Amino acid sequence: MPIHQQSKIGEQCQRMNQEYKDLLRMLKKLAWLLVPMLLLVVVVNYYVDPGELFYRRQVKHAVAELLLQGHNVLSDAIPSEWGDLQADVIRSFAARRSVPDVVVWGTSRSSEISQTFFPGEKFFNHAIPGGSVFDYVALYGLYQHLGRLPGLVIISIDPWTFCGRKAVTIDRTLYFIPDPDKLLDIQPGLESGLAFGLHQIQAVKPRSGSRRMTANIRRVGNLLSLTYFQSALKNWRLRRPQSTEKDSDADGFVLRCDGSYAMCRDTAAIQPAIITETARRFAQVAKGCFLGSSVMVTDNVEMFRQLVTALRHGGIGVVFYLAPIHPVAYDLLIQSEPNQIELFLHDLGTQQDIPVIGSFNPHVYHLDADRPWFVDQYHPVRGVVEIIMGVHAHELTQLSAIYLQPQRTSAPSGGR
Amino acid sequence: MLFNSLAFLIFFPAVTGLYFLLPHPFRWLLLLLASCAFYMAFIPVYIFILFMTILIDYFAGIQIEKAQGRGRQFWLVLSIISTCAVLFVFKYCDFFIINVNGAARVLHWNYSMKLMHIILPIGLSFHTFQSLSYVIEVYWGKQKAEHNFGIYALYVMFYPQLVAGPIERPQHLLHQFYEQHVFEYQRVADGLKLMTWGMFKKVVIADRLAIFVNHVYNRPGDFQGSTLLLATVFFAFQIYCDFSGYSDIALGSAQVMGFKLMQNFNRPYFAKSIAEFWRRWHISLSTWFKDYVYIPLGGNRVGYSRHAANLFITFLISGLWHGANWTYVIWGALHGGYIVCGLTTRAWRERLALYCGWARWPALHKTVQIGCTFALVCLSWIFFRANSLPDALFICRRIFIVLHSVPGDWLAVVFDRSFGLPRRELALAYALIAVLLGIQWIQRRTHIRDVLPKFPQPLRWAMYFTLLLSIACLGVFGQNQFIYFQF
Repeated sequence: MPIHQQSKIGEQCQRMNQEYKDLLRMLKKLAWLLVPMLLLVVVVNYYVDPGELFYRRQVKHAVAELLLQGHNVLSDAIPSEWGDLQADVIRSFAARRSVPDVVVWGTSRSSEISQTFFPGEKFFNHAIPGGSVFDYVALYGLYQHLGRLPGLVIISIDPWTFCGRKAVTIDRTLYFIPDPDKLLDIQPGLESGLAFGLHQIQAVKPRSGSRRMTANIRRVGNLLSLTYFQSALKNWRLRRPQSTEKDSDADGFVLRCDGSYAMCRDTAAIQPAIITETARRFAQVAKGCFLGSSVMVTDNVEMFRQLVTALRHGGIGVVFYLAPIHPVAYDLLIQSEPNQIELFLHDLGTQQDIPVIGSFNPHVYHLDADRPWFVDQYHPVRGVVEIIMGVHAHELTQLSAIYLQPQRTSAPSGGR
Repeated sequence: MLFNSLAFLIFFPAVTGLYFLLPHPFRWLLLLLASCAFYMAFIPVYIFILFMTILIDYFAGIQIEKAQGRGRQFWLVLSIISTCAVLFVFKYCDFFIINVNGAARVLHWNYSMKLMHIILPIGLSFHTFQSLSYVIEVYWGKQKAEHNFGIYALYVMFYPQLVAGPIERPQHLLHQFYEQHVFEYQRVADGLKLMTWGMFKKVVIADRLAIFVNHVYNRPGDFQGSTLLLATVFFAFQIYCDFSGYSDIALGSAQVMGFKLMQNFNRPYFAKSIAEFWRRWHISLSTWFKDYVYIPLGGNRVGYSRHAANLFITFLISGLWHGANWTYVIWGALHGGYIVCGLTTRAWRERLALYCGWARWPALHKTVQIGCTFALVCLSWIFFRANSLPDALFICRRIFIVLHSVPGDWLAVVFDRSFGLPRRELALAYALIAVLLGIQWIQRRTHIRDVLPKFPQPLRWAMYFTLLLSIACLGVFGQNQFIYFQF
């Protein structure tokens, strides 16, 4: 080989060697810089755990125990992964061999329905924020698994109850749907209930095979999440849930022992003008995809029908509950599409002999925008629930008499 | 794909690693494929529009080089018209239709066209201008036509500068794709530092200020003049940090791979005049307009009135380039007006400065000049940011009411409490702006990159760690788009 070629190859080797050394030096320095950073993030995320992702089981179980012992629970924020809590509550019912007479399967919009509306009955409100028909089927499955269902089920219907992928594009946070193509992703605690519930009502299981794995990956991913890190820093003195005798607290979130809770910590501070503006803005975004057929996914509607049929065949009393929407939002939304969800429920109610109480339409109960009836565009305050329950008190009493009396006579002793 | 996304955090090291692993002849192909993937992360189908523009200008470039006499002109005009037609259809069509419909209404004609509601391909204006600069340079004979289609496509699509510039010239960028870049420690380290600094500006400063600015500008009627003024100042820093942050990440990521892109910002808010501001702000665009619009119009080698008209027209077009809305046109017109006024009053201002004896206090004189320039720029930013023209006029009116008030009320501007957002956040925003200005002040003579090695290593490492930690603790990670992506 000629000398000049040899020297060229030598130069190339030398250069590659230098590049390799540079690369190693760079990687070493990056590691020194980034590894401590990542470790810090992981350690803070794990130990502060503001979203209760890593201590989930213990915290939820403790909350469920406190509730069933008859204590209200105080925490800094609305606990995440609410479905897990409901699953723990239902399992605790099983452990106590006691099932409530009246339950609410609903969402944050029905969270103010409380024991006071059903004096003398054993009551629990399973309000899952953002809950949908899948959550209701899961709750049904969990109760079925106990072997006993409540005598009367109040099912809260919301505009997002039947929707799948479209919901994600509008305001609604259909809870934990990472992939709109998968119809629904419910929380791990409710998974077994959903499977059992779907089997019981003979409905098809939704496409979401890798749900548990994705949920776990997401949870581990949160260890490295900078958003979670920021949340951990803000909440490093986070109060763990503790029992309280208060009904509400301006500084914290109170989950009452009957499962009900207030969406607004301080209702006196509600400014109707600001809420009206919020409602208007919301309606502008959601118009055309909130009340009509676009949010009624056929499969989900069918699943709901099967659930209701199963309940009715089991001799369970069912009530459909519709919480009103802010009048400004409703008026704007109704201009773009008819209120088909409500029409459907009235039809189904007639077929299955199920009363419908409440309405999306706030004008039915004379709720105007000038008074603080709403916390935001669609969360009514307790006063609204009182009005609705007052109007339908007679119907509810009749239903209690029909469905709870025979059950009570045969129910085992115990309970809260 | 956004630079401030998790996807880019995976994409960038993967592409860079592969780039250095591959033999030199295949590297351009890797970059082209990576650029396609980067672009397709937004709206995949729009890659065809981009390829159409690339194809037209690629052939036009070759034909211009081959042709003689009028043939060259023909291919140039064909290329410019077809490239601009794409821009018009996607960006200006609805604006045009709205105005035609408006004019028809005013003239009581029963005429109305339907809006097309086309989603604007991301960064369309940027790669259109980069394509145009290529054909024009080939026409002028300053650049040979590129015969390798892949390399030409990469020149337009090179991912660091694909969606928001810097708008490169073929003489500066094309030849770099043929050069073999080795892994050089210092260059890579400098590139990574630049990227980190850019990320800090974007996610910590710009996105944090955006919370205030959006809150106020989306409901200007709810706020008093002092709040609107403060929000406007915040927007000035938001847009600077947003865009210069993007540019730093673009320059840094290109630098890591061995490419040198042109500098886009040079401490613009320290400019002493509007003309100087434009030599420091979005440099790649202002030089583009200077080279391809202002000079062909006659530049300053014409009479005064024609010169002023050339300047004004150039800025008007620049305004329209930014967006299909009258607010942008007025923003451009304002800057054109400033420049023309500055030109007209230059001698008068110099005499006034002499008369006032400013020469004795040069630092004070400079500060006043910088302050005045910043105020004028802020006034124009109102039109740039406002959601509509009536909003912009309303904001101006409210701000001027505050400016006419007694000096005691001026304190209300600084200690404003009416944002309706936590005061801690407001204090943090002030602190971040102070940090930015402090660093820029240090950079007035030499780049911080050259200053850093002079510090002892532990101090340097503490600074790097602080920067990373502040990104982690204070960054806003909501996948906020860069403002200039929409152009």
